[in-house]
Amino acid sequence: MTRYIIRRIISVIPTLIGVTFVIFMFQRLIPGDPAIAMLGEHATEDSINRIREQFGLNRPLFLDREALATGDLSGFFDSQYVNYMERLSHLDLGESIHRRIPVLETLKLRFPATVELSLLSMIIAILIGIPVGIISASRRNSLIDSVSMVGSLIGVSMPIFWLGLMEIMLLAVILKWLPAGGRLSTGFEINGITHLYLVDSLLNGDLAGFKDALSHIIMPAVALATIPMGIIARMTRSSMLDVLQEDYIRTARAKGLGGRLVLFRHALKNAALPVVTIIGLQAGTLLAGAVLTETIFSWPGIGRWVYDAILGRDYPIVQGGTLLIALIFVAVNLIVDILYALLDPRIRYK
Amino acid sequence: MSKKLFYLIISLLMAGSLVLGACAPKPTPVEEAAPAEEAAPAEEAAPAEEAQAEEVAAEKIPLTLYYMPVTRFYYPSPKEIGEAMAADLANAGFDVQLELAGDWPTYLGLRREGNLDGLYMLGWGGDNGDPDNFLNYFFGFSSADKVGDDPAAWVKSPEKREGWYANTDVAYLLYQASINPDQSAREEMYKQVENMLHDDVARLWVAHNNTPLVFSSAVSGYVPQPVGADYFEGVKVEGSDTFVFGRGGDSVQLDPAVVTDGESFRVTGQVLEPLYQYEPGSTKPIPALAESCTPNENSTEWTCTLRQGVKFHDGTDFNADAVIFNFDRWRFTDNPYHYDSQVFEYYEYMWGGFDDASVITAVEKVDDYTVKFVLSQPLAPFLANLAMDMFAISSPAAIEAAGEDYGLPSNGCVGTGPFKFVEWVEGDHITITPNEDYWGGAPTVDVVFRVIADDSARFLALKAGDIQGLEQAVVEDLAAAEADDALYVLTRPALNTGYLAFSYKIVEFQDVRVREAIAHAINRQGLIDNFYGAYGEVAKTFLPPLIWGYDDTIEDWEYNPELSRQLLAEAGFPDGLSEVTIDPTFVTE
Amino acid sequence: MTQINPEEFIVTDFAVREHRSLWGDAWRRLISSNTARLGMFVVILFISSATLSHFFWEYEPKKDLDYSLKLKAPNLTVTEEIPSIHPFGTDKLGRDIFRRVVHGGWNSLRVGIVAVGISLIFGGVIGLLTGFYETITMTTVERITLFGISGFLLGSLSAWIANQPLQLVGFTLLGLVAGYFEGFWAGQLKRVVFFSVLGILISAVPALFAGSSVALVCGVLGLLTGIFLALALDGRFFSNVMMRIMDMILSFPGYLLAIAIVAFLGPGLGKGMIAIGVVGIPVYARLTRSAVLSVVNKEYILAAQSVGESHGRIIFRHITPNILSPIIVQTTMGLANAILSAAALGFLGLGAIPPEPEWGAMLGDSYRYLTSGAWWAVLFPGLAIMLSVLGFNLLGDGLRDALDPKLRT
Repeated sequence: MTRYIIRRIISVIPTLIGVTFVIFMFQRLIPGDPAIAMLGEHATEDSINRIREQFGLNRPLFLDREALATGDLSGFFDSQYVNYMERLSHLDLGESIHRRIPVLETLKLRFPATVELSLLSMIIAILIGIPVGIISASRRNSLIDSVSMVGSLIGVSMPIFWLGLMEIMLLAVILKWLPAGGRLSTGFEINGITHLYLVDSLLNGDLAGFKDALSHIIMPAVALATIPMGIIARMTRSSMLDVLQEDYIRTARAKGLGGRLVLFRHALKNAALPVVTIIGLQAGTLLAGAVLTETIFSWPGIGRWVYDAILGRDYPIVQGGTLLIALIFVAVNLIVDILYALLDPRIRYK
Repeated sequence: MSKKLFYLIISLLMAGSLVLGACAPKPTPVEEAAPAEEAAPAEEAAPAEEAQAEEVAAEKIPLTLYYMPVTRFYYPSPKEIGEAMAADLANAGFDVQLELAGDWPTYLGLRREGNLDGLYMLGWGGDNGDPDNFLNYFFGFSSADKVGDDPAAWVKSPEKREGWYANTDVAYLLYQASINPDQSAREEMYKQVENMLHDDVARLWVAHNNTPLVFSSAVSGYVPQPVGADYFEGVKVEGSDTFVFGRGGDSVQLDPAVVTDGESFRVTGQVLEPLYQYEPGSTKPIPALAESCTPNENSTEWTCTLRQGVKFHDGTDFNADAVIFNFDRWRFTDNPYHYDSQVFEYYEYMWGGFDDASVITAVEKVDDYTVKFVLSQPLAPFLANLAMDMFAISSPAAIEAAGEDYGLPSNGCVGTGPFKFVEWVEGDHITITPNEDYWGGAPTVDVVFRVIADDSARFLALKAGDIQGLEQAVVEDLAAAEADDALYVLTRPALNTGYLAFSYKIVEFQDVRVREAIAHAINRQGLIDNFYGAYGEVAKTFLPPLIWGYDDTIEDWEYNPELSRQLLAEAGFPDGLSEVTIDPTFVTE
Repeated sequence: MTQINPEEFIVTDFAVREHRSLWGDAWRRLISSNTARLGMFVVILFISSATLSHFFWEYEPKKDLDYSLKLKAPNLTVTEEIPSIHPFGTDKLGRDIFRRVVHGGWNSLRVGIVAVGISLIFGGVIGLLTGFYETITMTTVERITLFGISGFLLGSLSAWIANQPLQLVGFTLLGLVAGYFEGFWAGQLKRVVFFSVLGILISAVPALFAGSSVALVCGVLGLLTGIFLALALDGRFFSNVMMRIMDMILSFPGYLLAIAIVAFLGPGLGKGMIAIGVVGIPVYARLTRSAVLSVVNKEYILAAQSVGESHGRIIFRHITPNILSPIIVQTTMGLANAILSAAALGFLGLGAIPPEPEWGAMLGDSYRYLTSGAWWAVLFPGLAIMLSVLGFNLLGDGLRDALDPKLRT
C-alpha cells in the first residue's frame, strides 16, 4: 500500500513541473506587457522601455541566441525562466508588478474568501444532492424520481453567471432582501484564525456579523452550488440503484428487513464510494467556476483576482494564483486516487 | 406524446433544415460577416508578418473599426458605442468590420506599434488642465524629431502611436506655445492648432463625458474636481461621522510619485498636499503648501515661499528640506529612496526626464521656508504641473522609515493633508481620519473608500445605504437617481475626450474627403443621448470646453449621411468603402 | 413510463425473434424514453431554428440600430410608440432580442460543435493510441516512426539554438536508426554510450561554426538526446508521457486556461472554439484510453492479432466500433458543456465579434441594465443557453441508457 501511495505521489512531480512551465510560457506568449498595462493611454516609448528594464522583462525567456554566439553563457542563468524557477524553488511567489505587494500576502487574504465560498457551495450541494439522489433511487420511476432527475439535469445545464444575475435581480433589485455583492457590509469587521467569516463570527459569538456575512455569501454560494448539486444527485441515484440490485440487498429484503433500514444500513454505505469521488472531483470545478461567480458578485476571491491579473499582465499573480489552484486540483486527485486504493484493493495491485 | 406525432415532427424538422440548408445559396451577407473568418487582420498586424507584407506592394484588408476592450470614462460602454458607430457608418456606405484587437494591454500595444490598421477608439483624460498636456503629447515633436538647433527646421515624422499622423506645422506651433510664458498668446496658438486639426480632420472627436457622482441626500459638501483629487474635506454626513465612498477599483499604491491611476490619487490627494493645488471646482492652480511662487523675468527660476508651522502627520516639520528631499528622491535615479522597483512615471513625463534630462535642474534651499526651482528652459505650465497630485510632499521621516515599502498597504502614506491614513485592506477598503491640526481647518468625518467593482452593484449598495456616495453609474441608473429624493447627482466637469482615430497607414484615409465623410456619417448626438445621457456632450475639438484655449467658434461636422455619401463619391468611392489598402511606405520594424 | 425493465429484457432475449442490430436496438430504446425524446426535440428545435434562420431569415446585424426603440419591454401588439412587435423586447441599441436570440443560436451552437469536434478528434486519437500501445507491443515500423518523431523534435530544438538545420536531419536519422536497431548491441550501457557519443558529435560539431559556447550547450543537449533515444522507448513510455501532458492540461482551472488561450490567440469566435476545444482534449483522451484498455485484452483482439492483422486494421475494425458508445454519450454531454463554456467566454467579452449576435455576449452586454429593470435583455438569452444545454444533456442521458442498459441511471 505504502508503495502504491509513494508511486502515485512521485507521478505527480512531472505534472507539477510541466504546470509551472506551461504557466510561465503562456503568460509570456500573450501579447502586450505589464509596462503597457501599467501606463495605459499615457505610455511613452521611453517609460515603457525603462519599466521593461526594471522588471527584467527585456531579458531572454530561456536563451538568447545572439548572446550564446558571442560566448555569453551567463545570459542563461539570468534568463526569466531560471529566475522564475529559482524563486519558486524556495517558495517565493514574488511581488505583484503593479502593486509591489507580495503575492503570498494577497493570497492569504483572498484565498479564504474563495475557500469559504466553495466550501459552503459544496455543503449546500451535498445536503441537497444526496437526499434527492437517495429518494429518487428508492422511488425509482415514480413522479418524484422523474421530477428530481430532470431538476438535477437542469442544475447541470445551468449557466451559473446567468443564474447569479437572475438571483441578483430577484432578491437584490426587486425584493431587496439580500445585498447584491461583496463579502461584508461596511462597518462590519470579523477577525479570527480561520479567516472564514462564517466560522470566525460564530467562534467570536458575533451574531450580527454572522448574519451579515451569511446574507452576502448565500446568493453566490447557491449559484455556485447548482452544477455540483445536480451532478451529486445523479451520481447518488445511479450508484444507489447499482447497489440495490446486488444480491445482499435482496437477501436483506428477503430476510424481512424494513425498506428504510436496508436503504440506510446496507445500501448507502456501499454506494458512497463513487459519490465521494465525484464530490472530490467537483472541488476543482468549483474553483474554476469561481471566476465567473466572483465577477458577478464582486466577491474578493482568487478567481477574479487571477483573471484581472491576466488582463493586467501581472505575471507573478497569474503564476501564484494559477499554481495554487493547480496544486489543489492535483492534490485532490491524488487524495481521491489514494482513497480509492484504500477502499478497493484491486486497484493498487494493477 | 404519441410516437407517430413525434416521428413526424422530427423528420419534418430534420428534412427541412437539411434539405433547405443544403440548397440555400451559400454566400449570404450574414455568412460573410461571420467573424471566424475575419480574425485574420489581427494576426496580420503582428510585426513579423507585417514585414513580409511590405514586400507585396498594396494589400487589401477589410475596413476595420477597433473597439476598446475596457470601459473608460470617455467611453462608458465601448462595445455598444462601437456597434452603433459601425451601424451609422454602414448606413452611409462604409462597410465596417468591428474588431476586438485583444485585451487592454494588447490593444494599447498594437496602438503603440501603429498596428491598429483602420479606425480605432481611444481617448484622453487631462492631467493638469493645461492645453499643452492634451495637444503636445499627441501632436508635438517627439525627441527624435528635434534634429538640430533650429526648431523651425524640425520635421515631424509620422507617429506610430498616433496612427502615423504627422503635421509639422501643428507640432511647431505647439512647441512655440510650450515655451511662451504669455498665457493669452498661448491661448491664441492653441486655438489656431485646434482649427488646423479640425480642417485636416486629424481625428473624429466624439465626446466629453462629465463623470457623474451619486450621493445619498444626507451627504453635503463634496467638491468634484476636473483635475486633481476631489475635495473630501468639506464633506458632512447627517447623522453619521463616517462617509463611505464606493468606487470601481482599488488604489494601486499610496505613494503618488510612483503610480499613475486615479484611484490612488483619490486617496493620496486627501492625505498629502503639493506646493500648489487646484482651486475647488476649477483647473486654476492656487497656493497650498507654498504661500506663493514667483518666476524671474524669463520664467527659468521660480522662488517659492512655504507655509510655516505646518507639521506632517508623524509630527515632523514641513520645511524647505522636506521639499528638497522629495524632489531629489523623484529626480535622481541614484537617490537611496529612488528604488529600482518603483516607477516614477509622472516625474519623467511632466519634467522631461530624470537626472540631467530633468527640466528642473536644481531645487535650492534659500532659507528654511523658501526654495528656488531652477529650470533648464522656460516651462509655461510650471504651476499647473506643480499642483498635480503626483508631486505632493511626503514626510521624509516616513519615507526613510518605510523605505521601499512606503505607500504599500502596511504603511500607507504620511503627509500634511486634511486626512490621516488609518488602514488599507487590499481589495476591500481604505480608511482615513481627520487631521485635527490641519492648517485649512479639520474635516469632520472619517472617510472609507470601498471597492465595488461592478457599476450596478455599486449603485444597489448606495440605494441600500451601504455606501453614501459613488462614482460612475450606468446611464439608466442615473436617471433613476435623479428621480429619487433620497439621492442626488453631482458631475465632475469633463476633462476628457473620447475620439475615433484614423490610421494614416490606410491609403484611403490619407484623403481628407474620406475622413470628412466619416465625420459626417456618425451620429454623435445619438451616441451621447443613448450612452452618456445628460452627462456627455459632443466633442467638436480635442480640448474640453473647460480648458482655456478651447475654441468655441469651430463649426462642428454635422450628422449628415447624404453629405457623407457625396463626399465618399467625390473621393472616388461611389459604391461605398468596404476594403482598404495598406500603404507600404509606412514600415514597422 | 415506457422504460424497459431489465428483467423483462432478459426474458425477451431468450425468445426467438428476428435479428436486430445493436444500433437498431439502441434507437428503439432511445425513442421509447420520454426524457430522451424531449432532449431530442429540444436539440433539433434549436439546431433547425438556427440553421433555418441563418439561411432564410435575413438579418443584417451591421445596420441594426434604432435609438427610438432602445430597451423596450416585450410587446405582442403594435402600439403608437412601438410600431413593431418584439416578443422578447429590445436591447440598448434598439435591436429585437428575439431575432438576435434566434440568430445567435447559429454562432453559439457552432462554437459548441466545432469545439467538441476539436476535443474529440485530438483526444480520441491520443486516447486510442495510448490505450492501444500501452498493452500491445509496437511493431518495428511504429517504433521507427516514434523514434524518428522524437529525434525530429529534439533536433529542431538544438537546430534552433545553433541556427544549423544540420542537426535536425542528424537527430531525425539517429532516431530512425535507434528505432530500427532495437536490439542492437546487447547490453543497455553500451547502447547508451554509443548513442550519447553520436548525439554529442551530431550536435556539437556543426554548432562549432556558430561559436564554442553554442557548441557546449548543443553538446549537452546532444548527450541528453542520445541517452533518451538509446533507452528503449516503448508504448508504455509514450502512453505515460501523453497522459502526464493530459493531466497537466486538466489541472488548470478550465475557464482560466480558456481565457489565457484566447488572450494568446486573440478574441473571436474561431479562437474561442479552439480554446474550448483544447481545454476539452484530456477528457476525451482519458475516456477513450480507458475504453480501449477495457477491450484491448478481449479474445477477439487477441484473435485478430494472432491472425496477423495489422495494428491499424485492429484499431479501426475491432476497437473503434466497440468503444463508440461511451464516446457518443460523452460527445453529446460535451456539446452541452462546450456551449456553456462558449457562453461564459462570450459573457466575459471574449466571444463573437460584435455586432454578430451570440448568447453569452448578449448577456454580458445587457446585464448592466438589469438594475434599471430591463430583465428581458438578460432573461431570454440566458434561457436560450440553458434550454439548449439541457436539450443536449437530456439527449446524452437518453443515449447512455440506450447504448448501455447496464449504466442506466
